[in-house]
Amino acid sequence: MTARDRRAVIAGGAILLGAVLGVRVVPWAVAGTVAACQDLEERTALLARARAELGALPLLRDSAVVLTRALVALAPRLLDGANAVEAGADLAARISHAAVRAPARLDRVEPLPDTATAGRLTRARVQAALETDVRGLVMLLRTLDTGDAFLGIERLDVVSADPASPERRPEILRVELVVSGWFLRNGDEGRGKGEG
Amino acid sequence: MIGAAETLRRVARRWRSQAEAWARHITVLKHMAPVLQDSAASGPRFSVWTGWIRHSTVLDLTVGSSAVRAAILRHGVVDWAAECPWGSESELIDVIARLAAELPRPSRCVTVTLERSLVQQRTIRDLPPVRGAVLPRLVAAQDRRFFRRNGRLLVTDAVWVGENGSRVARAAAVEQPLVEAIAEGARAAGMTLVDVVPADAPRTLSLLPPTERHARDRVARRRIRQLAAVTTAVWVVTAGLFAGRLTSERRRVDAELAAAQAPLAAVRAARRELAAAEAAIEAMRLAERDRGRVLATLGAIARALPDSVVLTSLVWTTDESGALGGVGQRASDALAALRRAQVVADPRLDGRVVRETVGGREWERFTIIYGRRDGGRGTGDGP
Repeated sequence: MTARDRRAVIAGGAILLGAVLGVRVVPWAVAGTVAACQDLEERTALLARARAELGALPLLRDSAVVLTRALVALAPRLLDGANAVEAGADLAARISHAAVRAPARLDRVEPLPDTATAGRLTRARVQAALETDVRGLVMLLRTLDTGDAFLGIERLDVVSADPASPERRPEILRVELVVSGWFLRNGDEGRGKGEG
Repeated sequence: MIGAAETLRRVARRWRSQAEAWARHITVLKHMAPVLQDSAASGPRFSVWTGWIRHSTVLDLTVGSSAVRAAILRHGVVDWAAECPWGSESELIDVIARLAAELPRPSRCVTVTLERSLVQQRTIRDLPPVRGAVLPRLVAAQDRRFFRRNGRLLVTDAVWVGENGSRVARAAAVEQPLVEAIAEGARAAGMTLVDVVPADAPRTLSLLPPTERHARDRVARRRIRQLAAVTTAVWVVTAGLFAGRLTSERRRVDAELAAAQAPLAAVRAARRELAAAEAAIEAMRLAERDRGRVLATLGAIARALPDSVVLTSLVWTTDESGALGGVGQRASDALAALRRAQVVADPRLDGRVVRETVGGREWERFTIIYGRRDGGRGTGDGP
């Protein structure tokens, strides 16, 4: 092999090596480096967010104290019971008690399905049918509204049984109402359990 | 007067010699630069050589047809000078060695100026417009055409110069055995031959012997290879350091993220609990706000309706929609009263008014719906 041949071989090899480096190796290395840099940037941003969240911990503790006090104050305003069945029973008992005080004749009380939740609170609803007069209806509604628990009357359906009756006869109103209240579900027993 | 003129002539000659010495000194330094750089590549450090340039002495040899003059410049002034005759190339080697041995201070560099009698100089026109780097090879390839050879090999060089607005080549040639002898003499004296230049010629013309040129080319090539290797190594090391830093940084971030997972989960759980508590409190606040709404609405309706109207049914829902069924002397009076009192939203008659006789009197039985137009009575669970 002459020196000229050797130079040609070396030049050809250098060109091939340069082409492989330029077309394959360098783009691969650059792409890998860019991806690694981006990955590192994302992780760094994640870490910064995590640090910021951890930095807000004292504020969170203060808020927790305030909210805990507020929640404790709400306890008497809730229905008793840890699930929908128990809460529905408590709600029915309260309606029954109000009907006795009205007075009104309670025909039936049926639980209604409800999926509304607010945090760990779940709503219980019952539908009640009763007969009473105007005074009894007003007393019943007032009793429900002013009780310890915050009960909501979601629907009221009143029908006068015999509007053309003589004035001396007592007026009879057929009343159907839907009443709801909130209860604190206990742990795993929550929505969907015992409802409907 | 004659004495003064003679003095002036002497001063002028001295100034001229000083100016020439300065010019030669500058030339020496200029030609020394590549050699010094080559030496720096294989020597200790360039800064050392820079100091050496500043403090070393350079032997300036002027070779004539029969004698060699040596001089050492110090701050632009001839510090030492000597002259020695020579007759042949072998004698020239000895002469240079002997002059170097007689130097008052050791010198490591020598620059040689060849007088006109030893150098053939030509101004060549009508050459192809080649690049300056190619011109010396073009002239060397045709040295028989431009120079006398006298049966001996020639060392040539050429540069482009401007002449009356056009480019011409200035070329010079010297017999190769002569410059080989000069180079051999410098080597024998232990000195580095900086350059061999023709007198009264462009400063860029160099008549170094081929062996010296090849040696310098080899040094230059080796230096380029070394530079390339160093550059590659620097790039590789830089890439390695970058990759290492990237990896270590990622490990550090991963470790910190892993360490923060547990407290972070606790914080997020606390946030969820707080959000749930806030939602519960808000729900209870709304429930408290809505207490008494039904009674208030019923009372307002009762107050708004005229005494001649008797309600027979009522539907009320939390979205403030519903229906009123009643009997009265005029249904329109009841509707107008409700609208006037604004106790319910958008009251309107539903269906037609039915006239009937109750207790011997004419009554109108009607149904009024209120609330949203789209929903009407809402759930349809009306009376």
